[in-house]
Amino acid sequence: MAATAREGIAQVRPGFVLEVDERTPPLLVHQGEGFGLERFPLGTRVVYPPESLPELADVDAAIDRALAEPENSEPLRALLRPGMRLTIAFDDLSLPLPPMRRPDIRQRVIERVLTMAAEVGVDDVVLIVANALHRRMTAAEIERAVGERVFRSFWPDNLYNHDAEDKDNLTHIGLTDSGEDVEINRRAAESDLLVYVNVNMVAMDGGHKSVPIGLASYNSLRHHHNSHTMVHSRSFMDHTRSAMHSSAWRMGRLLADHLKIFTVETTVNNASFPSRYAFLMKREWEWSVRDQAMAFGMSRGLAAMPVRARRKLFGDLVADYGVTGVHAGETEAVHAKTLANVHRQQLVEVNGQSDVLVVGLPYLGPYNVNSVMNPILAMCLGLGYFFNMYRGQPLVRRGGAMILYHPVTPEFSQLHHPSYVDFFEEVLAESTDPATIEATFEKQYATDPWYTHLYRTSHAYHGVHPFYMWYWGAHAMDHLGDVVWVGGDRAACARMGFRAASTLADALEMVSATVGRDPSLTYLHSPPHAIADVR
Amino acid sequence: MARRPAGVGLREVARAWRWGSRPPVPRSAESHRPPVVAKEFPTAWARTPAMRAARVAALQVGMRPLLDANLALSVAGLDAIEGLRTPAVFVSNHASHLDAPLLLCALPRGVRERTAVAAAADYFFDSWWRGLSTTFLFATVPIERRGGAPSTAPADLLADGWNLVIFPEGTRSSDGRLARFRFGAAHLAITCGVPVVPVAIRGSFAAMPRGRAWPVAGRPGVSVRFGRPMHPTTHPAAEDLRSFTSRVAVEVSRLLDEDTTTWWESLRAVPAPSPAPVGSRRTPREARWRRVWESTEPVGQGRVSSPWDVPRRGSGSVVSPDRQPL
Repeated sequence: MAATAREGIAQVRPGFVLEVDERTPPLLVHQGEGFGLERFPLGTRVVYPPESLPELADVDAAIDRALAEPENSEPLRALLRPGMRLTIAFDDLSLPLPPMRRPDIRQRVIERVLTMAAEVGVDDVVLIVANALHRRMTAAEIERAVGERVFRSFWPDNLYNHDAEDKDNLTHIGLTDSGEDVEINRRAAESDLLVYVNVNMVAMDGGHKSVPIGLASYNSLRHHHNSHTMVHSRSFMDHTRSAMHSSAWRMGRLLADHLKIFTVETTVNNASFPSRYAFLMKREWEWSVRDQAMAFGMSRGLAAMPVRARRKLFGDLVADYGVTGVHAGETEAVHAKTLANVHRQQLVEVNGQSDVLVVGLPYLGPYNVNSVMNPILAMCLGLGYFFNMYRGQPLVRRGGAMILYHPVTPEFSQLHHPSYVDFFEEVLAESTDPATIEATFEKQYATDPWYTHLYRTSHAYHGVHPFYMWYWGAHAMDHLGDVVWVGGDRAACARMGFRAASTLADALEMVSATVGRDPSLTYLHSPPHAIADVR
Repeated sequence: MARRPAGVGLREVARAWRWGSRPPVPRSAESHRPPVVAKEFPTAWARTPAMRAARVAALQVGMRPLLDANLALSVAGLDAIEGLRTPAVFVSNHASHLDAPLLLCALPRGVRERTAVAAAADYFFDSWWRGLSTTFLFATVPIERRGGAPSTAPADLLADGWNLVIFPEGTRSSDGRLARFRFGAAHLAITCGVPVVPVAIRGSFAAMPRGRAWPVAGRPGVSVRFGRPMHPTTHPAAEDLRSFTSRVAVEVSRLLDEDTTTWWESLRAVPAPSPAPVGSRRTPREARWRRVWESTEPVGQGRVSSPWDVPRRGSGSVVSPDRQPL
């Protein structure tokens, strides 16, 4: 049993596809740390996500209910006993985006689990951030995620980041039927019970992607994070048709034979921005005068603002996410419920593909929280995530074009993304083909001692991480005939093998060689997120 | 490369969202409009004696001269409502924003003073300034036309002795033709036990159709014709909501015909009321341009001239004795 927000669903309008006509006002388009109002050609299809679902009235009660009446599992209390080794792993700062207002849902779940463990008399408890090859979270970031009580009780000895390069603290579980190494965090692997606390923003998250990836080593991750699986993941938002997820599922099932995993998955609604920026989540023709003033004023003001001030404004954004569901128990049974919730919030039916897909990339992706979005991350967000926001078939036909709005500023965080700098300057100068890059350069970056040192001791993403980001866009690169960035830095786009345009009209002119002079256009109006169910 | 915001200028923002007017809704989004949030707009203040007196004055010295300056008005059939001793529901065709002021100004002063107009809540009460101004001028009461809880205000008004003007088509006609009647007016009449007075307004579509905020130049003719009060049959089995609505719609349509021909000819052409609510009696529907063409025929043309037609003082036009210049 689990809890799901059902009240008021009838009042929530589903997503829909708008056809731009002469009555349609300019539409909001995200463009990195800024946004603009854009006039789209008549006939352009615009995919709008469903409105935000109502949040659960009593989240704590929903958590208790999920823990007491789990899916395909004994209640959590029955799995706890004095003297046991309990490990709680949880998603890192890549979820949710932007960070949610406090208390974070991870904190609320972890506090309920720990309360139960304390009542039963469990002493040996460790909490691990499932950050895989992501950067280590800072103490402040961890405290924000788990809350002050948990942080003060466990940090730093029993609350820490997973280290995928700590050979002494990794355990090789075995090989899957397909010969994939399953190697995860030793403490988690040797626990009597592993409780995994997840936040599901999109359909790609959760399920067996949590433990086998979040707590894994490079040796294990390389089996599914490679150009071959990425090209054959169609899409990431549909785990049944994703080679990457299939690999993770095989690993997860092998793990489940060796380790008792109790999964807690939570879903949030589409309230991706604070209420004072509600216009970002509204349909433009329903904007009040205040919304219009905010949109116009901010689009102009942000462009004129100093970079630091603009970055601070966006960095301080905290989403008003409401929790729409909490499910617990056996991983696959839980994930089925979670996916139903995600689809209820994000799925939009779309009839047929188009020649051109237009997206506006926001300021934030999973890998630049409290950091800057460099060109590789922008590519990953656009071609990796937004292109893959489909089920069935892509929004754009094979050989079609994708137009993305983003400044693609060649700016890198030396703290968070040191290997990205070299990847951009050295690797991309040689080739932009994911398979070639993988064969030629991946091993060197993955084993580079300096990058490994920075990953383990500082707050840097692993040396191989920019490669994964590049593979993330492999399916889109394979599928598309042309990619143009509106407002993008020309040199940075050229380095990545793309072209930049000043305006949408210019971009359409540039892609006309690929899709003709009168192409059909689809604009994915996101965020908030929408998954196009393309029929 | 310098950052360049995608986008449009302030002027285009003002034009796109039609500042000073309602922002347009894209056609493909019309079926995805937000649900109606029922909110009661206070209108009782407009029915107080002081406000009634102020409204009479505003209509008499403001609205009526304004209409007269821009339109050649005529009204017919007032004798049909002279004997009214109970509140009634005035039911009229609707093709223009001129209809409500025309109808109110056409009513005898004693009736006009206690007549309120039912107006779409989502249109006339979506902003405070629009709600206040229409409530003051026309004693409007909001009614929901897109679902939501039905308001009790109209029934309360009738019970309080007020007449009510309802345009049962629900919105202004796009081609001037009578559209399908909704059941609200007949429902009120049956539940409150009051008669329905059918009214036909001709020429307002030609004078100021949808999209115009001021009448066309040239003082186009407009006529308001009242019909005999219609009472729902008291026996519940004898006439239901649907058939009464249908009967009223046929009568309004007949009055429109009467305005272009004669009472006798319109009677001979009237069809038997169909069980379904009807709009125009002319079926099947012709091409849109023909409907618009017919609806924009100048008032006065096509009407059989009578030997009693007399020239109007101070103008070259003629007025039949059953039509009175307003």
